[in-house]
Amino acid sequence: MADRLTLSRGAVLLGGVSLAAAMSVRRLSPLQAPAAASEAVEVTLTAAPRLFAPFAGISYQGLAYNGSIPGPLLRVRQGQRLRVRYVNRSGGESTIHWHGMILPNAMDGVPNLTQPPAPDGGTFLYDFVPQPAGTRWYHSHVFPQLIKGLFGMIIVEDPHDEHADQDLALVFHDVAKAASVDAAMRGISTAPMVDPFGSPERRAMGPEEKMGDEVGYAAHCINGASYPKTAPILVRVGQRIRLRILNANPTQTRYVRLAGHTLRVTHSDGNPLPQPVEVEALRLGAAERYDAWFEVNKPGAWLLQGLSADPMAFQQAVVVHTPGMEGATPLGSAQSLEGVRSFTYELAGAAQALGTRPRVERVDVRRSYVLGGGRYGSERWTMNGEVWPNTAGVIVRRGDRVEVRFTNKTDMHHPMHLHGHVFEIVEIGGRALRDPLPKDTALVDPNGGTMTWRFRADSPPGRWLLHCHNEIHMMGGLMTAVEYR
Amino acid sequence: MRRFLVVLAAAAATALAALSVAHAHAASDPYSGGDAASGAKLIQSSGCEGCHGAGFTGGLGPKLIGIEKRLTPAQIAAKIKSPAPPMPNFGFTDKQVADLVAYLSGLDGGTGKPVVKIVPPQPSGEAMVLVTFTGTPPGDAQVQASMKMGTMQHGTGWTPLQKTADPHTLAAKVFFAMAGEWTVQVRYGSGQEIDVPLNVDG
Repeated sequence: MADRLTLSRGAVLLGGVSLAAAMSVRRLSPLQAPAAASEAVEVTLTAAPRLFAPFAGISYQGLAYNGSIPGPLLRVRQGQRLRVRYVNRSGGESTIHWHGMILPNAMDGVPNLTQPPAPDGGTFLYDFVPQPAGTRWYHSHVFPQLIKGLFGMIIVEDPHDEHADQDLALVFHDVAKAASVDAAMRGISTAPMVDPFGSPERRAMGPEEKMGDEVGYAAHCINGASYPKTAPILVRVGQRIRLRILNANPTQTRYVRLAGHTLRVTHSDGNPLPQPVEVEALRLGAAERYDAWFEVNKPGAWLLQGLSADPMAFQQAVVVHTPGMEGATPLGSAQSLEGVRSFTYELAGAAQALGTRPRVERVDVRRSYVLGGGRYGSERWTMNGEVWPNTAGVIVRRGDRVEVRFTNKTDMHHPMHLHGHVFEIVEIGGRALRDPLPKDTALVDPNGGTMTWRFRADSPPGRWLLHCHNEIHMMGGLMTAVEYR
Repeated sequence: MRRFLVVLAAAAATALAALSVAHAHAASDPYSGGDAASGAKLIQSSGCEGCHGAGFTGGLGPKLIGIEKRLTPAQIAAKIKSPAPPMPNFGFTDKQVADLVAYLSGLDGGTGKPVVKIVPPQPSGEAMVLVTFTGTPPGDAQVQASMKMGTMQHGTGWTPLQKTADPHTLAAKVFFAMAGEWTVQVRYGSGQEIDVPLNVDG
């Protein structure tokens, strides 16, 4: 029998509330409650305007699911059915895309491609079995609703996962400056570049180069709040903590550090890595997720931070502390990656020497895309010189082995996302990965950078979008589809 | 001759004593004498301005301009090494803390009085005003020139002083429209002003 549940605004705490937490007698942390044990989980998500004010002086007319930015944390067990009744009061047409899920095409939430969008005041029923297990997320696929706050995390629990003493969902998100979004859509961005010192993005620049970001951000948040108002995380000595981190920023890459600790990364976009990687900083392109673990070895207080060169970067931080250290000065990290061991695809995938090729295997469909456009003053971002919907798709038959190769001729990274599949990165910049990385979103390097993916066309038939998850680039046309024939 | 030697020895002893006092002072305040340029880089990469406000004029954290007038180097260092929450501890080394103290102490131009130089020293028409601070030049320094003509006051209006290749020196062009007894005025920070009289040839 299905548990019936509607999340009310009152039940939503700091953007993270589980289905079980609302029902359970025991009070569980909103960040870590397990999923309910039942055949199906039913939930109502209502999108509506909400004034969002995470920091003094920052007040933003956004959109929220169930009154919360981010939306409620959804947890389901592997094999459970999820029925989401979507009530759209956003003021415009809307859909929900289930990012990273392999699901019937009609549930994928792409307006006018996989479903007619829910009109303002209308509803839509999403009904599917969420899979594969892992850290996934959901968000509107109607511009600019993701930028305004329509996003949340969904975790599909894997019964075979290693035990964690705490399993914490952390959504890193930011408040965009509306004027800079408008400027970016016209190709005339003026926002300063905020990638941290020592990041690959900075290193690619000459000393006198003055490159900017497309979109500027007025505030930076974790789970709906800005430091020092983020809710501290209590940990105990001896505990092993699993962090599930999502970068919900619509355009920027985010670096994440926990002062005084290394992080053991086990999953990328919810998919298990070939082997865990020990790093000091994570690197999350827009829409990417990482599962990262740490052990509490001594009493203390430490900052978990999103790093950037933005003067307000300090806002994206939360204190992690042991009992009795609530008021202690937390150990922090500089907003710099100089000398810091960061996560890279090459590290996690054991990249081989320059000139090596991915292992030879049967490939039925091969497609190459040159990513272009992005010239100052132009809103066009292209694939092989075309913009959506004129871009040539990847035509497949069910069961085909597919290879897609990107060459990025622009001067920006592109977080490329494939709907409804998990692909493997097999090559980056002319170096084959010994251990291909399973992902649903991956950053393609700029200025001639290359990346090759392989995947099996074994998802439910339909049209699956393949696009840049930088919202500006997506709207500028950097989008195509994998089409099952 | 012998007496002269004694005097020399006494002078040497005095000099040595003075040196040892200076040394003792430095030892008692290990956070003075840092490198402001290194401190500036560290400040930038640590994102301090985010909390302490653009130009360190105050925000979530307190105003830092003029901190050297309120606290000793050791006290500034203590605030960095053992900060009060929500400010985090960045785990800086003593050398880094000294560099930060040096940078922060010079935010308002430093404790010493800036030196104003006019090039050429006897101008007719346009001249360059160079202002050299003992610390990091403040971001709000301005210059104007004025002269009295009977009951009238002729002035150039305030012009922002710009950065130069020398990290301690700011500069701006000033145009002296006529010969006479001018006053070059430099102002910065919270009301500090320097007036330099200048005779401009016809």
